[in-house]
Amino acid sequence: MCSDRRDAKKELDAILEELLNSIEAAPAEEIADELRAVGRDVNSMAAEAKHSLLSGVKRFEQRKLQAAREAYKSRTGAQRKKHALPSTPAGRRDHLLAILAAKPQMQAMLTVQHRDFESLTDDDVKSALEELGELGVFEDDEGKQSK
Amino acid sequence: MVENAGRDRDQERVATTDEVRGAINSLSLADLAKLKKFDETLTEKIRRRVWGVGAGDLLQEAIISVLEAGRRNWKPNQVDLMGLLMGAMRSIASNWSRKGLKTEPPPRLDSDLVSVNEDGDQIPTALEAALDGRPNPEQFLLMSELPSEEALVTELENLVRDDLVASLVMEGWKNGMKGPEIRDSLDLTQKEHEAAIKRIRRKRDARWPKGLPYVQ
Repeated sequence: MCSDRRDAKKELDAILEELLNSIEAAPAEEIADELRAVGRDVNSMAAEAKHSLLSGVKRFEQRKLQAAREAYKSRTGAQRKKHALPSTPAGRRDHLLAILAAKPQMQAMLTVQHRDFESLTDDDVKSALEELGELGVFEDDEGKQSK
Repeated sequence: MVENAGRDRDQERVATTDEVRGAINSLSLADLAKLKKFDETLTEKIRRRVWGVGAGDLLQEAIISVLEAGRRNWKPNQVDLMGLLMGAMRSIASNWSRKGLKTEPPPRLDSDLVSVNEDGDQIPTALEAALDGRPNPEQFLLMSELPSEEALVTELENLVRDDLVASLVMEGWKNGMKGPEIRDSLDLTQKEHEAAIKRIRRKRDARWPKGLPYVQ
């Protein structure tokens, strides 16, 4: 009985493995046609796959940013001076544009939602500045100014 | 010479996050549906052994592994993204299967270690119950309604019972035979073999359009 169960496990694994091989080898259009033929909604399957992939990219970016923040915090210690941002939305927007004009490479340090500057709301501008602050961008400038 | 070196460098170049995002956005509807079907089938294969694996988890982890330095970087000019993703999904699934877990179980707290009932008998904590692989009575009842692995294999066999070539191909799979061996032993051409596999795939999809049932 026990050995039958083990065999069935192995047999089911082998069948699924060969089905996987056949899906991998088949042209994508053929698989899509087969899915349509059994009533699957190919559009929503595609949307789900795309969502999973893009969520993975986002998770990767968040992990990378988190790692950069932690590395920076551990370098500078817990007691860091908080950079004072301009008090008005227009002042903050000018400040962000000035930083990015002087250091275009800083754009790469911002998360994607902050790279489309035209459509940034006031809150987005503030959080983009805070993001740059977290990464220590202002402190480099302040360090130079104090020398 | 300099031109060749430039071309070599371009070939070796690893894709950036934005390039990977762009490549995802340019996958066709059929490509994405194929990836989804591959994810579903691989999940069906490993979920009997892996705790907590759900739809899309393998796809998501695969793209992360493509982006993480030193894991399996994508060189856009050398490697097809679809093939790379499916290879990454297989490798992650195999790793999860070996460990039996998708993620580590939650850590045990001291307060979780000892629990007793009114009579002083030790009883499992909620965490122990969650980590215990054995089914509780309710789960046992639900599981008893699921087909066994034997029953599912039998049902798969029955799908192609009236198709001699397809049933022999499936018999070969169950015995661990691979494509060339099956073709040789059944004296099939590549085309005949592929057609038989396609019939198996279609019969399976027609019987379970939304995927195989869970098994006991």
